[in-house]
Amino acid sequence: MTALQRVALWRSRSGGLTDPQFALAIVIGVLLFHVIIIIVPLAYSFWLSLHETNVILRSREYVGFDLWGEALFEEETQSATLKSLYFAAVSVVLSLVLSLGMALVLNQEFPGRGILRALILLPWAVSEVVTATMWTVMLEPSWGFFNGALQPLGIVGEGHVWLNKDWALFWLAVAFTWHIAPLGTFFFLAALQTIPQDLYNAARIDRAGVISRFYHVTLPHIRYAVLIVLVVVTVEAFRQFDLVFAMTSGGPGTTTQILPLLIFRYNFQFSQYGLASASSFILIIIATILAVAYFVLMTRRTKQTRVAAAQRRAAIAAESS
Amino acid sequence: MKRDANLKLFVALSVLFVFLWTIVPFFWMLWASFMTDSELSTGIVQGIDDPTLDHYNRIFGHADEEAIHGGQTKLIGQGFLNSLLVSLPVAIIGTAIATLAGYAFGRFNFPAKTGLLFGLLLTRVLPPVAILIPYFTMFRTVGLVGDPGGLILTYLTGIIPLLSWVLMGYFATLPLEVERAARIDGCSRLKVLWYVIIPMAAPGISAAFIIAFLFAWNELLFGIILVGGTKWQTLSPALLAISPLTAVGYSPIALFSAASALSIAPPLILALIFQRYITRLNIVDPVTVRE
Amino acid sequence: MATVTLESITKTFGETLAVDDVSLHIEDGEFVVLLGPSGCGKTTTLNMIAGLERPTAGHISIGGERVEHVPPDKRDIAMVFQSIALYPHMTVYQNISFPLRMARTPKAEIDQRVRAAADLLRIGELLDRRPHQLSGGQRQRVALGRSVVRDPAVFLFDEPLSSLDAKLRVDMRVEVKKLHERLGATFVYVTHDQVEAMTMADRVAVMDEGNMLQLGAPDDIYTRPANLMVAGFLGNPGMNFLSGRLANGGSGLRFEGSGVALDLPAAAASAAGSGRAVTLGIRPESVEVGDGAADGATVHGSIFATEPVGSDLFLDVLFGDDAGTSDGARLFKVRARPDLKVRTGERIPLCLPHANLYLFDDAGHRIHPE
Repeated sequence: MTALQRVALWRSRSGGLTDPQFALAIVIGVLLFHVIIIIVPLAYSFWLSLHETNVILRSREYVGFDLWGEALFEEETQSATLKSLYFAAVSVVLSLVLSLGMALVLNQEFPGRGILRALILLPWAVSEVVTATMWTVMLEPSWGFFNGALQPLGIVGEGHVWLNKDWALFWLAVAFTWHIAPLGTFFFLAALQTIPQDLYNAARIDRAGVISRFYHVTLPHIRYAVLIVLVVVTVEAFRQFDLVFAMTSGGPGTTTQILPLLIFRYNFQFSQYGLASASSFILIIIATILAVAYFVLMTRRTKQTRVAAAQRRAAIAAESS
Repeated sequence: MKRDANLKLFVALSVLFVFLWTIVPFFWMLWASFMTDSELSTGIVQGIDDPTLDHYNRIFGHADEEAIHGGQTKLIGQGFLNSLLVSLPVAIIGTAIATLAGYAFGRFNFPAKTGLLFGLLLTRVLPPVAILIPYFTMFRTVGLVGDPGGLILTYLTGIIPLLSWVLMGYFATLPLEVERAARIDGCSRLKVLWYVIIPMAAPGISAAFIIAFLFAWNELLFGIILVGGTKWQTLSPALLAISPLTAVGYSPIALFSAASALSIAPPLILALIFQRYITRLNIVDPVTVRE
Repeated sequence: MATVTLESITKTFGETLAVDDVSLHIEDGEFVVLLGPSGCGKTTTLNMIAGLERPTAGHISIGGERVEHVPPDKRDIAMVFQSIALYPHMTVYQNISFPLRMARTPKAEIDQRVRAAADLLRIGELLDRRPHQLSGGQRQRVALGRSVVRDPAVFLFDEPLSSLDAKLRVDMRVEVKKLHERLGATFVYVTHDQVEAMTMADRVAVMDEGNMLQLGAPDDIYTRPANLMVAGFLGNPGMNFLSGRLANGGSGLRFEGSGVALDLPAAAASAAGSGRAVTLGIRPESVEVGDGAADGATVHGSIFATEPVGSDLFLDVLFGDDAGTSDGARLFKVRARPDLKVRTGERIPLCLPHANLYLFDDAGHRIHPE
């Protein structure tokens, strides 16, 4: 073997990673970090969920899936799970409508559009704790803004309690929507900007009204953004702890005690680590199922609509030439 | 013509609504922070006779009266500093790691790519409370409770999947031939990344940096558990400690409003920078993305 | 300076066969053009020479050294891309000096070489600009400068002129050719534009569907196309084809079909048997209007359309009576003098000189002239 051949061989081993090998090396590096920092705690959490811990006796006893059963069928956990679902559902609906609405408005031409685009991002930039402060200022019954503004108009009665036991969770979802919707707005704005103006013009020539233009031109192009917003808001709503903890701490009573708050109390108030861990898995499983379901449903549909959109574009191009 | 006028009116009203919806909560929180406690208790919707800076002075430690609620007020300033010391490393390290991962996912095809990407993204679904106790136990074992290192590590795991996803979309939009030109011009793959890809992706990377910074700056739960009540307490737990809802002892909402108002200065500045970049982000579909 | 050798290289992407067993030896200092329609495998072939793709099978050598496993940055090559691919965040000076900086060339030498390259390409006054401030032609020169400055053994070009407008393309064509003459390096140039291939190349490799159809000097592949594909791809307007059969007629071999019947030159007889399906080809510029020379076949057709382009007049001539009576292609392109006076629908005689007739068999291979 000549020296030159040896050099070539050496190069083929060192500098000659193929592109997939190179990418895989990076990804495995990053994932390894994640596996250690997430899978290990998760495994530990799973182990905890199979054990009944008694802090006073400092004992730990293997109980199998008993605590999972308790977490599933205990009334307190069930009620918290339902509250989490309600909170997520209201947040998702409000966020979707609001962020799409804001995106459609910000996609119009009007003076000051650039400034407004910058401004609407601000609620997203502030923390959940500060969001809680602001909405407390809005909703406080004795001196808050809503009552201060609405009482003189006779819309609400004296000292109306907004965060009452029927509506507190709803208003938490409103506050959460205020915080999270700007993110959705920017996903929608980015999608709206990819729609060729020609399509709107063509639709207008075909005498399509505002609603039919939205349905046939806008919607197919933003379908993927809808998916993103659905997933992001759902996941964030199920994860949400900070806002509820800072604003109502689960009250009044336990009416806003969503699952993350209950798990927090199991852990730090009652030291029921096993039950807390088992309940955590319920939360994880629901959130994962929803996220995966969205993706499966929407990606199947987006592929179809992409093909349809491409065909429409081709047809329009063929007509205009 | 009449329809046009109606449409214009509708757009104008919508713009007004979006503006008010966004700005009104900010406005009244600031308004409250300039009121005295007694004035605020009679209602927020009124002119302020004598705007007071007392609350701000108290937070900066200039007021005579020592904090009325367990000396927590002076921890706001410390929390501000601590949050900075935690958020900056999170943003820098998180963006660096996510840049590598995003580049690999956005530019190359490799076996099990979709599966690995999903695996990474699914960790984002994990609610923080679900891993609270394991983290606490693990960190206590290695002495990272009450230490910013543990908090930084926690935040990194929380934010890297999201950043990788965002950057992956951005890298996929960069022209492939420029990258190839750099390979021909004598760059190894990592040199291409450093000399060509990163400069070209600067807007996307800046956006990722800001997202990471805001996440670390705003987070509450892990802050409470890992550094709450210690000298490394970050801003969100420090704020909560003077919240009228959760504080031990009397705490006026006006003071809380002032502290909240101060705490949002860095996020607001970053958000205003960010909005120039976020419109250029390209969020890609992790299922159908193919190079 | 180096030779480039491809030995039976094959590249597949999943199920798709992009390059199929291509072999090619390029001499040191030679200018070779890979010509073919889009999707023919020419760019993939170039990318494999560059090291941007790895061949699925086969060997590549540059300067006699095997390079399949050498990454692009370790091969002594420069490349100009279709999208020009300047670094958008660098000035012209930084763009041109980039390969030298990556090679850790001393600063003084970098400066001297960048300025020399800039002078060569007449972009000396643009060095402080950024790519987005340049015109298309200027960007192209900078891209050339970036490859010239390294003094590489092999220059690779991937349709570098296709993004320019027509007039600029003609100028840059000359420029690239001059560059080759001055540098004397090995050039491998990919294009789908046959004019670029004809004007610049020492040798042209015509590719289609991953196969190399013919390799030869431009003049050679133009006058002696190996098959129908090559014959049809070169020339503008392209060669006329008439499909039909061979028959034995009065004076010798005859061609019949597509509404015409004509006598073939005696030389063609050796290639053919009676009744064989063939395609007859002739280039538009070879056809003469009128009864013409003795050594040729005369056919009659009616004028379907005329296309005056100033220097020439192109006629579309229709054979046969009306649609449906004959098989295969019937429209014939003819290049006539611009002052010829004809009307649409008029019947005219055309002379097809024997010397310029081609015959291809049913597999597309040329059978005449041999």
